[in-house]
Amino acid sequence: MIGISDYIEASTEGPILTESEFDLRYSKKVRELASDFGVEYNPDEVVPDDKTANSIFEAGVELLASVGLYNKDSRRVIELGKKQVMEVAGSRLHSITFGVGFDAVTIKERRPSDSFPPVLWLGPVCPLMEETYVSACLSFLKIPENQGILGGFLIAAEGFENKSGYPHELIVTAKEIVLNKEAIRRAGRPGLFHCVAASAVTPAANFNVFGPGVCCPQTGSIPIQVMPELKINWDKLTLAIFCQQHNIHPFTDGMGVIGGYARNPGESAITLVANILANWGFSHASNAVAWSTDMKGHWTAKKPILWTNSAVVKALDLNVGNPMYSFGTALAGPMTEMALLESAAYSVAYPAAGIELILGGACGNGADVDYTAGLHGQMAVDVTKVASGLPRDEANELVNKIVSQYDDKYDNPPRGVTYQECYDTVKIEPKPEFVALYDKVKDDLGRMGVPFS
Amino acid sequence: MSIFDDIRSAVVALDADKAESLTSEALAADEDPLKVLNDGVIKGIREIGGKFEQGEYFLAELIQGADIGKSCIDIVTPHLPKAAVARQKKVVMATVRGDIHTLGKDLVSLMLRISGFDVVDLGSDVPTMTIIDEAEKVGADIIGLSALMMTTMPNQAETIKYLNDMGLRDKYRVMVGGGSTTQGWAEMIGADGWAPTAAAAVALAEKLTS
Repeated sequence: MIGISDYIEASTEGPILTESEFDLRYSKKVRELASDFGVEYNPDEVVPDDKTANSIFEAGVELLASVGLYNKDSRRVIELGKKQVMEVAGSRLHSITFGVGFDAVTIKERRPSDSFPPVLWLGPVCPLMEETYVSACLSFLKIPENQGILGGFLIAAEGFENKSGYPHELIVTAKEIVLNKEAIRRAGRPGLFHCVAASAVTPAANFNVFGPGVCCPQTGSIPIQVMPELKINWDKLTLAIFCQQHNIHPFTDGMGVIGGYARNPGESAITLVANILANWGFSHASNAVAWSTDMKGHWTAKKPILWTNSAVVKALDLNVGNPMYSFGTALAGPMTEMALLESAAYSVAYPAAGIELILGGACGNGADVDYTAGLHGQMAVDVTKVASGLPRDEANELVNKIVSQYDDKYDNPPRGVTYQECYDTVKIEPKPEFVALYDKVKDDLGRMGVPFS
Repeated sequence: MSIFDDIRSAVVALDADKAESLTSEALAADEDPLKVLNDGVIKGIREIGGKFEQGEYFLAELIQGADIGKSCIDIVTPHLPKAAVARQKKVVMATVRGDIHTLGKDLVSLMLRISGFDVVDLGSDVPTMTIIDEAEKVGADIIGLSALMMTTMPNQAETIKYLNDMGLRDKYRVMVGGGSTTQGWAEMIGADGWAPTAAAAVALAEKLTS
């Protein structure tokens, strides 16, 4: 079967193309495949049917086998045959265990109709000040159903601003892991998976968080991403080699931009499937985040994004059956009705697509310093618990009702308040007015049809 | 339809062969080269930009449109009177060090090219001094800095700091953009402007060089 050595060889021997030649070749092919396979975005059904999901998978395989993967550094195309792509798809694990001891969690295959909820890893996923970091993480760790901590982006530590590509990055990202570990220790869950160093970009910074006092392969990982659209560089292969030599299961994702070279959600979903299959071929991972954004850089609970992520999750679940993830992120900020509704929308949609794990709870598109609150993760817990197992039609109808409450606010979403403004940061408890808003939104969701009782 | 309309239509239809041959035919027929350029080629590529903004055309069409526009302009330029060949404003574009995201920056580069700027696109993960060296080398009017991530935004600030420290700040207009950046950020680091979209970046570049 194809492996990383083939990618390295192809990156040094494969056909040379300019990046724009590759972009045009890819762009033309994905349009052709979307048309041939009849893949179309349907805003009324954010969780597509099996036929659409299967078409997306087939088109994704064809896309990768037709245009390959581009190494931006060597400017060469890594060509993959259809047989090789199918071998990659057919050899993924169906479950993965993260964490140690009592805190270990096994992420196992689930189907769209399964009534058990997906695993939830909840956390701030936004820039954080050092003094806020542990408390903000604890607001998510107090939720018993949260089975892994997603940290934040520490913006500075020990007097150094976090700057990618500089020594500063190593100092700050190592501190980030230390703070993650402090948070899980204080939560009484020391064996919990604490994911990746969110701020680490370069290989050096990612390698630096593995070792004594920081991460071990059971509790941490390294992100390996195929860039939009169908591109890697030497760093990605370097990260994969490190993971393979240190027994680390990489945290992989395929990222797609709706409205870029992929014109619409249909083309973006096909591309994401190809991205993820290409990633597994060299990262040897069995998990992936379906991560789509729009041209505004939003990766939130907008319908085109919910559809694309759901379609990719379902396409890979039906045809591969490995653990698939997606981000649950709100565009609006903390302690706003819109952000709570957004959390509910992805928590209805993704389980109905068959997702195994939701990386949830983030607010404000993950962009504002200290704009986070654990209660948004609680909404994901409460809704996935009752919405998992809903038939696709019911889930889609429910998402339509929820999204209609906020889809006129994308251009000017409410910014909300900081963590310090909506939580007692010492007791790690939401302020009474936040709890009242939460209860009100939950009542509203119940009236819309979320089966809380 | 005039030959100029035909050229414009061929450019908009992304028919490179037709656009180039019509441009050559018009010049061979002694049509005014300035009219061939302005009423044919440039009108066409601006229309492509408009179609992109309306969601009718996408990135792939912009790439093709920019390539067709460049080849047609290359055909016309030798026929233009020297006085009519205005110096194109130069923009050095880069995604700053540590950041490998290119799509937004690519889009701004394309839109600037389509709008008549001479763009030197240095790509992604570009060290600060490479950006400044290139700006010095090509005599740039504008330096455009893209950063998607919170952890790479400081490298936009660093470029401006270097320009200040090297006594070069007044030579260049600096514009910044990218996913997490804001107008407030641009003001805080002393940039000359910030643009939230590619179309806004073109308007900003035109304003900064007018």
